[in-house]
Amino acid sequence: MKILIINLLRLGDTIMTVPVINGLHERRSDSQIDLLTFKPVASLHAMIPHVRRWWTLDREELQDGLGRADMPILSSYSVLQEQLDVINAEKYDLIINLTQTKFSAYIAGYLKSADRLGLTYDLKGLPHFYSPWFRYLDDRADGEVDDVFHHTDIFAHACGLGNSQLDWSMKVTEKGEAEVKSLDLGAGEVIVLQLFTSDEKKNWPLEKWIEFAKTIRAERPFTRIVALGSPAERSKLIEFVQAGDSDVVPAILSLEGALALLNRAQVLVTGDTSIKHLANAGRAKVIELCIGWSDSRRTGIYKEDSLILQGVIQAATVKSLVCAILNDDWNSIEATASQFKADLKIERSRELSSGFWFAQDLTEPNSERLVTTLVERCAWKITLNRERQKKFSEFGSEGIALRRELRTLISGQSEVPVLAHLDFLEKQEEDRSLAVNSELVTLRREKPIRADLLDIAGFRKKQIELEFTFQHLEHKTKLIRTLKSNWTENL
Amino acid sequence: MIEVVEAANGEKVIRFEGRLLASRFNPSQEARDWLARRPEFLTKVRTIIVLGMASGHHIAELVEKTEAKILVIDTNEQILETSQTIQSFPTNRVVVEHVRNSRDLRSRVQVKKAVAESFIVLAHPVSALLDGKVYDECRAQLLGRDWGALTWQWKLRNGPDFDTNSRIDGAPFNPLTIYDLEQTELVQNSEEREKLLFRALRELVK
Repeated sequence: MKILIINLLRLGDTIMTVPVINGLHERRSDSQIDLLTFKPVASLHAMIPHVRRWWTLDREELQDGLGRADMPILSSYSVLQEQLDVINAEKYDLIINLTQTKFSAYIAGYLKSADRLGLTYDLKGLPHFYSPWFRYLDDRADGEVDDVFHHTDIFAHACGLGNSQLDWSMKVTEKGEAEVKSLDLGAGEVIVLQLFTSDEKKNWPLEKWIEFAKTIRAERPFTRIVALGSPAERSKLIEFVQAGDSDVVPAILSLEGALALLNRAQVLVTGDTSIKHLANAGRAKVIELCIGWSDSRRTGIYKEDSLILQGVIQAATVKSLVCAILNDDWNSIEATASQFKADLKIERSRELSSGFWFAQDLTEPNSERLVTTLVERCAWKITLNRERQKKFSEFGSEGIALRRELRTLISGQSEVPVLAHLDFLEKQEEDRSLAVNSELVTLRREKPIRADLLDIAGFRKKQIELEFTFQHLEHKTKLIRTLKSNWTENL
Repeated sequence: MIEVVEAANGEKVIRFEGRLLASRFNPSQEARDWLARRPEFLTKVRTIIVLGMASGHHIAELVEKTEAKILVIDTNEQILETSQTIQSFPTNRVVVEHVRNSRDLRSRVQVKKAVAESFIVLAHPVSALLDGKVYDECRAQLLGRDWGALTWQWKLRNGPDFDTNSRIDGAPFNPLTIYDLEQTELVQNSEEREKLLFRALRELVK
């Protein structure tokens, strides 16, 4: 089977699709997986296994061709068309668009394939998703939603890989290892600092980094501190090293070098960067400093037992957390979270056996909020996987898994409020179901006349939305009842 | 009067009516610098159309740095003949056309073939000084940023007919852009798959 995966965003977004590539390869070992990305992303080629052919589009060049009056008006059009026609000649059996942009959806629409997944515009310019998971992603594209699945989970579930352990493995190359060897780090402990993000507003201030490096040096004098940067960040990185601790090792590495370093280091402290996603494939534990408009709910560090920090981030706090994570001392991490809860939110990333990523709030653990979130996610999972046609027992197994998950996450807290909260949720969802059902009945009664096509289209859209919401609420109520029954039996 | 002289580095350069058509010191370096200023699409297009042969060092550079077919347009037969005495290009890569005006350009088979596929246009600056008006007309024809030139190019691609439109924003003398293409009858009447590409490209300049 020939599969083309489209990812027309940035480096980090493509790294987030590694579990899909590995999973598809694992599930369909006879498949041939090709990738279409923008040109700079192809620097990952040597590190992402199982990709047979890597197609690239040069976004900047296409933009130049469009924007400059000294270029033939059809130059970008011709080049793009010829490139896509070469790709079409491969006759793919399945095209998966893992990018939720209009550009990628038009490209996906132009490319021919027997089967599809992901946002695609048809010849009339209408969107198609080919999986409820991608529709869910589109519906929750803005930042206003309360809760949302991690993008990697959405991709994995949409491709039928959501119920297996995600495989983030990437290939550490000889070139990468040689770059790390040249840093001469010795055999001891290594902490990597990724100072710069793609956006100034998402950077932790340089003076904080300097202070952090000094405090960690004072506490762990034999630890090697490495400041990682790309060749484009060379001057800023040297400036940092000169301004602060001269023992910090500046490491201007390629992506291959960065992966090898993350495989050698014990901890990575980073902002919202592609390096953060690369760390999923390395051994280093991760502390993510989530600053500015970074949205960790959708694209936070996926790796189990990483920390995500949001709010007023002090150098001394990060130092304490680094030391605690190095010692695997979660009591100390929880104590730090509690101590600074007024200014700082600390979350622990978990890969739940229910088949999704979850950021557990360590600052203000709240079993009711936890139950609400996990029930909502599991219910969405059932709805989006279209499990409504399966037997009721599916809810039973989901309920058992969820109960196990909740018990682990709320250990140490009283379980009694959980049951009361489930009662509250059940009532709430029953009321919402009634309201939505009533809205549906009213809508059907007011169906517009056939002649008014615009009204008909709007009516159908609204009807589909309401039916989908109604199904989701039904699943949620069933799941809550199953969980309640499980919980009571095991009290 | 046309003659061949030697540059400081020993390379041959044409002098036409007292004007040197390439650097007197290092013509190849000058050609490399010229090409470095225009890197877009060099390795992507099927044809590179060059306006002006001059001493041909820039053509030699293109032959070396790209794999595209190179179509050289020149308005002066003497220069074309003389350049071929000092340069030797592979005939499967470089095609030369002598044209007198833009109408002449439009009639040439090689030009029509090139324009029907992906191409870019590079202008040799010294050649432009020799016959500016004709080169400007030819360039405008090849850039296709007015309705007449665009219609000609679109038909060469077997695109469907369309009515000539003035610009959507009412500024007929400005060069056409992707926004015009995306909104006009040209695209509305064309095959749907072409429309998808225009819409995709429009997203890149939003």
